[in-house]
Amino acid sequence: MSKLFKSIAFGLLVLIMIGCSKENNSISLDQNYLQVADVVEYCQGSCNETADWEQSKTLVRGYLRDVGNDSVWQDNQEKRRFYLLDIRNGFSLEVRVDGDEDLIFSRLAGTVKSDLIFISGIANAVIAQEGSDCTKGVVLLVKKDKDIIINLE
Amino acid sequence: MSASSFGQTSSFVQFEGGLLRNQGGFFKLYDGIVDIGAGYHLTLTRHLEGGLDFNLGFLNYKNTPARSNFYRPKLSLQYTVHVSSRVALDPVIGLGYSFIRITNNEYLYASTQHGLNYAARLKVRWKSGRKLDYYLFGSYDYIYLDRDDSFTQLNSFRQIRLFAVGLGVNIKSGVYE
Repeated sequence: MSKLFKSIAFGLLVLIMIGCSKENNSISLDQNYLQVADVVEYCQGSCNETADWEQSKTLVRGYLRDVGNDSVWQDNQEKRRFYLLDIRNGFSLEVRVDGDEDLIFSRLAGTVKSDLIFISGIANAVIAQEGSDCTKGVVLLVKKDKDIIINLE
Repeated sequence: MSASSFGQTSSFVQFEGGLLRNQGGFFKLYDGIVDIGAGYHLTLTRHLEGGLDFNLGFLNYKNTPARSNFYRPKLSLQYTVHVSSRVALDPVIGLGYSFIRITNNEYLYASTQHGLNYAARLKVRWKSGRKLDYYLFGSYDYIYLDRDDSFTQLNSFRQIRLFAVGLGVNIKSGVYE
């Protein structure tokens, strides 16, 4: 019986190893609207290499962060940015306005917290340096108000 | 012949509770709260028990209404190493199918994901010689979620790793060892 236990334990270990060694898949950023968490997790990497997602058209969906907080939104508008939130796990994606600022912010001003926002933009790499560690993260550049859809209206 | 005819415990029910931790992946911003569990095991030989376990784990995302509950039923096989007359080590392996309920009440959001669950654990058990045996446990669960592209398209997010440590009790029937 102890032989049986060892055999099953070994089999289970192999299954776990197979599961753990699965490489992250390549995903298409511009085919469907992806969750914020997928984009944030996928679009990162080392500063030493250029990744496939950089400067790619990217479709993403999420909820606006800080809706109803006027001072935050005023600051957002001054800095020409806002954040999309993944309400399932708290991941946030910075969206930078790189175009029709007034049209984009007036479009967002009419939203409520529960509105699901769909954005088409360009994934742009940003660098985070901590000591000798250098990593890349992503911000999304959006140019036109028409690139933002609210609740797939 | 039954296990009890050899002068052994023939079955036991276990109850346990502990602290839960998630490692990386989709729930990396979450904190663990508790893991509670119960199980029923039959003694197969003096060293081997098999049974059904059910664990329920709770994770929450700090300062938000986001919650995730992990329902983890599994079949398990436990091997007993009698270290001394009072102490036993029980390595346990398990295979099950888990369900994860993710909610965010602020947005009226709810989703259930599921997948195969491989588990390994170690119990350090104090053999009382009476009806109740107490133990410390450490456990590791690896859940590989079924594919759901609307939930995630990343393999790394389909892999969930949970650690738990805690205390439990075996309530035995048959001859107490």
